[in-house]
Amino acid sequence: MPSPVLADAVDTAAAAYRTSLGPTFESSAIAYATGKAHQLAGHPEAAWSTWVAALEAPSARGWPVMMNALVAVTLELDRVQQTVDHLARHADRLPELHLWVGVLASRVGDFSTAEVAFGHAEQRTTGELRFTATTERLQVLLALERLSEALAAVGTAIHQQPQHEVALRTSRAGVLNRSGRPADALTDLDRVLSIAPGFAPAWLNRGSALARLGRAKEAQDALAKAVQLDPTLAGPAAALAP
Amino acid sequence: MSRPAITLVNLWMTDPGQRYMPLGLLWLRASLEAAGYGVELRDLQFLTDEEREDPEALAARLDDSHGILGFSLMSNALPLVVETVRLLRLRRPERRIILGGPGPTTVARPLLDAFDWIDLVVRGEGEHTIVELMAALSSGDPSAPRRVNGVSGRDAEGTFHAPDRALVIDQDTLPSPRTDDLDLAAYSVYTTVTARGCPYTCRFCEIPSYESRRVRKRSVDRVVAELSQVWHDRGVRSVAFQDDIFLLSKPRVEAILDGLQAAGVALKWGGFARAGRVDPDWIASLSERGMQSVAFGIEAGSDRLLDRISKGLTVKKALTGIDTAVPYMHTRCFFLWGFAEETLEDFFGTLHAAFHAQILGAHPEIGHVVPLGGSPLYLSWRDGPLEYHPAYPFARVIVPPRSADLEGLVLAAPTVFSAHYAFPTPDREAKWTVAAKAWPADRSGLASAG
Repeated sequence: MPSPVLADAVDTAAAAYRTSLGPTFESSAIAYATGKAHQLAGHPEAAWSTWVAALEAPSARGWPVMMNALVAVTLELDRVQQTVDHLARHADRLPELHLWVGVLASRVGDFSTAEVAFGHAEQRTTGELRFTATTERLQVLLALERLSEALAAVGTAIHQQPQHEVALRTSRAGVLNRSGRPADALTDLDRVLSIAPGFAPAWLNRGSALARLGRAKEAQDALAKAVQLDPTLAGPAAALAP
Repeated sequence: MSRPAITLVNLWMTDPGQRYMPLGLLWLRASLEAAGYGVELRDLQFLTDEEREDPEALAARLDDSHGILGFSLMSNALPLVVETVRLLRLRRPERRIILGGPGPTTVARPLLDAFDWIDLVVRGEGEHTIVELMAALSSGDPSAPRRVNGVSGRDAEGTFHAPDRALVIDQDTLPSPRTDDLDLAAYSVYTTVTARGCPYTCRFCEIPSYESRRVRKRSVDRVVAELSQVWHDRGVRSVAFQDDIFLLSKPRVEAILDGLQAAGVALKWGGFARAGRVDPDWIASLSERGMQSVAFGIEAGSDRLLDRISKGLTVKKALTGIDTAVPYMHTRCFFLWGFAEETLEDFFGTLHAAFHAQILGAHPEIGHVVPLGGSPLYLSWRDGPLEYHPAYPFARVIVPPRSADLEGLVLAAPTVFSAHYAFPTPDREAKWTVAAKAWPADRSGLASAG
């Protein structure tokens, strides 16, 4: 049973904390702390209210840490639509919020809404947020079986953050396999394995590509290599075996 | 007659997975070797947790040590070492066993009163004391240890406490430690100390009780020579300065960095600083000169409590310091809960500061304050018995007793093992419920980022 004593103590502490700091610090950062205190004190509703209210402040930021916390508590309280409404209301001013609209929508299986939201985030944010939006949109496009758009998205992601080339090219190879283009997949995987010969998922996708090309022995060897490097891939490898 | 030899034993028990160089013992070894004594160093932190925390196993491992055996330890290992010494006494009654380091230093009197198998404690800075004690032990005069300043002990006449030893003001008079026989790669990072002592008066801390508030420095040349040697000869590329506050004096830090630069040494490094004294321009400059991490002791998130514990810091200064450092380097900040004067509102204030630090990009850690034997907070404690709460897994520096025997020791002698106890604090259960969620048992940091 949530304790009103704890809730009052959190509110009193929050007021004292804000007074101590004065106007120096951005208020939504402090609101994150207040919400976490409420959450840990057993009041997820108060945490939710604190975090959505924090977005009203003119200087508010969509701190990724706070937004991830808001997503978690939203799902716990089953308040997806309410949270999405709040986020959408502030998204013109805080375009990063589109990202978490997408996250929430995809968590409840509304991939169409998620794809649109991630698209907005991709267009209107920069840096890490933009990259996250792109890769999240990639996952949604795969869920929607929109494979050609998924290929475009993964290409964009590679362009944005080439340091993640190994994982992204491996993903693209998977999409190419699913698109019926195993020869193109092999081109990506050759590149990946020249950089990271011990990357087990690349061997798995290589096995899949070779199987699709009818090169059964090579496919079996590649799948065996994947399992040798990562025994947890034994199940997927068996399913792909020619 | 040849000089006797000593086995020095390190039992580091703080951060799971972290392995730290036994700096205290390396300094003792240097002084002993300079005086012509043979020294065997056994770093038992590399044992498994099970063996390292099992007195029977430790006693068996030390069965073949030299005739004189020295343990250096902090308060957390005190029950373990007391029991290990008891078992060693049963196996090897003739062996002379010396305890030293922060753990026994501040509780030497009650330690000797409570456990009749403990007979020698080196209090405080040990380099000179251990050398003189070795001479006393080999003199053939059983009362000779009584005349060694800095030693508490027991002999046929009873317990004794020789006067405190004067601190070593000129640290350059001490022989420099050698690390030629250490596998440096086995340790988490190369560590060194450039100065001893802390000028601050935080009431929960006991460091000034044995290192003093006077900061006693090694010369810049000595520090640079040590780091230059390990850079060139041992391939060391990063160092953690273990001074209580490394960023204490800007001219001194700059002089060390200038010296390193002139020697062609480009170490990555980190150290402790005061959050209230972070100069934005300087921190930016330091990040360009290799500083990659900083650690701040913040402790509390309410100005009232910070004042009560004499932290010399305000919440605003603390968070400003964190916010200044985060863009430039990995920023750790430490918080404590469980103070006797901590209201529920103070406690949630501390959580506010910790999570605020987190969202700014720092790495906060919350631990439980413990009554360290030499701390003003403990020494002035007059409000009833301390509390024993062995279920708390999150008092960062304290490893709860692993066995009924060890727990029996702790329960029998609260004045010796005060660090295993807690101050009474209002609303303990409510705080504990919240803290346990914020501070998971894996001690890896605050619970998930959200």
